[in-house]
Amino acid sequence: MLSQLNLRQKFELGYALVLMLILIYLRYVTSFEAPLILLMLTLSAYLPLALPLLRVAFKTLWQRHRLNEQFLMMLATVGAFGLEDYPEALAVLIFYRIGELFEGYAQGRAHTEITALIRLKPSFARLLKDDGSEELVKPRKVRIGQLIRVQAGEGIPLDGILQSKQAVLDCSALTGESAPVLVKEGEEVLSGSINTSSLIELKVSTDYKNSSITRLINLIEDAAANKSKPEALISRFAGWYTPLVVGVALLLALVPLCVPGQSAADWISRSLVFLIVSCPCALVLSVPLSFFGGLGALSKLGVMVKGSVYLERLAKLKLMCFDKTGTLTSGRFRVTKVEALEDEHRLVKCLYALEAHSSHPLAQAVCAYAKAQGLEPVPVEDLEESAGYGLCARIEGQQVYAGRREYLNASLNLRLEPEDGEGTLIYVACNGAYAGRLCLSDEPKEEAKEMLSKLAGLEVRSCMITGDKKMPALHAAEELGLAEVLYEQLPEDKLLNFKRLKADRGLTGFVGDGINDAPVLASADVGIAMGQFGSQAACEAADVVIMNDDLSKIPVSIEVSRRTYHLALENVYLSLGVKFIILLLGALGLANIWLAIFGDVGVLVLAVLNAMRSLGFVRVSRAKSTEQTFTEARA
Amino acid sequence: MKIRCEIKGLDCPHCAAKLEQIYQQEFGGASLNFSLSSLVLDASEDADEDEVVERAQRLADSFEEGITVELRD
Repeated sequence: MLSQLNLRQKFELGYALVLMLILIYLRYVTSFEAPLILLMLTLSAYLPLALPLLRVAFKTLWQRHRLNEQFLMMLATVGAFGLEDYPEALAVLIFYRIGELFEGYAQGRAHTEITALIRLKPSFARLLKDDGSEELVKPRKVRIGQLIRVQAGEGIPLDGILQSKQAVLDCSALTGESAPVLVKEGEEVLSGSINTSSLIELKVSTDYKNSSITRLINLIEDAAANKSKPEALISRFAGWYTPLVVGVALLLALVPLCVPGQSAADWISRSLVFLIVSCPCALVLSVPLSFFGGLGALSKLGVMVKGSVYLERLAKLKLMCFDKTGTLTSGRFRVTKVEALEDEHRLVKCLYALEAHSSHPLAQAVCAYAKAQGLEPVPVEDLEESAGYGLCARIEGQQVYAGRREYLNASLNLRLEPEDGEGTLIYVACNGAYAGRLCLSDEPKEEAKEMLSKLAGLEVRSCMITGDKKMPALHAAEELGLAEVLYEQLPEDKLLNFKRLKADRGLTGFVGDGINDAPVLASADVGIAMGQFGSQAACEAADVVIMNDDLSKIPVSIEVSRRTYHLALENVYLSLGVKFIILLLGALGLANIWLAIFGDVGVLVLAVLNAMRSLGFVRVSRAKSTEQTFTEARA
Repeated sequence: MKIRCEIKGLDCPHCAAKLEQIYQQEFGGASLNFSLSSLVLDASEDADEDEVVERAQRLADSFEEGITVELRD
């Protein structure tokens, strides 16, 4: 904390502190009477500390026509001189300086802890030139397609494709996951990771503005604009608190002029108390700091919250809705059964040809299954896809339809009866007639059940909203112990029903895996996107991004949010309570300058220390990961 | 387009809030984060980054001494 000061400043502050103690001793213990000597002594310590402040105070007054806190402090000390309260005059200055130092220290802590990410961001890139030499340039100057080098232990400045054989990376800043990641040649490397193996080369694939680490930092930066209620209240409050208190101080000082028989010294002393307590710093600093600490603590877990307002809402959440596929379940479907009317081989082949053009998770499972059977995709013509229903195309002269039962019935006038199994069914029709179907199913994620029971423990209800059919949906819900399920929901139904739930139950969150859930995510009080940081669509629609796909982070985030929110409120009550009590006592003439100094600096220190506790709500050990990485690198 | 700068030399969150207001009037959209020492300014798509930063610096100079605004790397 003291390292912010240079030697001269340390000396000045130390001298003033010692002198203040001597003056207190002389005045209150020995009742030493020599006003001139005391005045000279005080000035010798006062002037070096006060002159820089005085200069700033008058400059602001002159140029911007406003009273800053330095001006108010100077006014208070001049008042104290007038009352011959020399130790008090010094104390106001000394503690003002200490308060300032403390602010700087607290901010430094918050800065380094929370923006560890920003420190991770390398300030240069080793650009590889055509002649094989290296040049250090700013990451901003590197173009897509250029080659860069990253040495062992350095951070990766830009996203790129690995050109070296392999690399071991520490991606903990991006994902919160401390296990090292092994990347092979030709795979993508994200900026913000640290190269823990030997020297590697990358071909840059995104420019600086769109690289992962820059996007992540922008996310944190923009988070500050989404202020929570208490935070927004504080900023407005601070705007009129100071003028009001200074106004009252002025009125108090004028009392003896209007009311005869009152002692001027007494009323000036009362108004000095007001002046000293007039700075709202404790409030203005500690409340955002509490929230910021909470955001920082969560970011250590790989949970990015886009603003304290979402932290507040997470803390007060009543209901959490989940998408099923890809969120509660792994989203990796397996084909469990094939039923064909005639040729099974041909059925799979046609379906493969169609699904090879879709990115739906079901399609990917079909493709994987077909590939395992040793099939090659055949070309298709006139492909048409209706999202959420199915697709059709011409394959080897035959018109093939595949998708939901309703899709086939509607497009081909078939009368397929609903039939429920535990899995999801894909129906196939060739040349206008039903040809067969495939049954697929997927498994709940390992941590899903535990996460839901933890949510219940936090008194947050859970509900599953899925586009899946009744039987598979109920089956999954039963396995997970979920009581509420909405099934067979098309994207527009999802949104409608979600809005209804929101209106009925109060603050409602939604957890989805991004792109297809974007409308619901956007309409939720808190939209939580699962998925690696790479998916930009998910990041943009959601308010909270869980970067490593780990559901168990949800209850932890709610817990941390609650603690942070309470901490922030605690600080509001603490700072305001103490200040109001001191102002009241001051107006009644019961508080002296010493108490006022406590009300200013003491409360600031207490509130800030309290706020900084939120930084420690989450502890992640990174020591272990380094060790692991080294063993792996050696192997 | 958002122009992201680093702002240094501010004294307290209170002055930061005031400077933020000045920027908001001047640039339409601006957010100043004291704890991150970051300043994000809204500018039109074809704006010259250096020119915007220079303007921000001039505003800061007239607000208080010793504030520096720089494009972030």
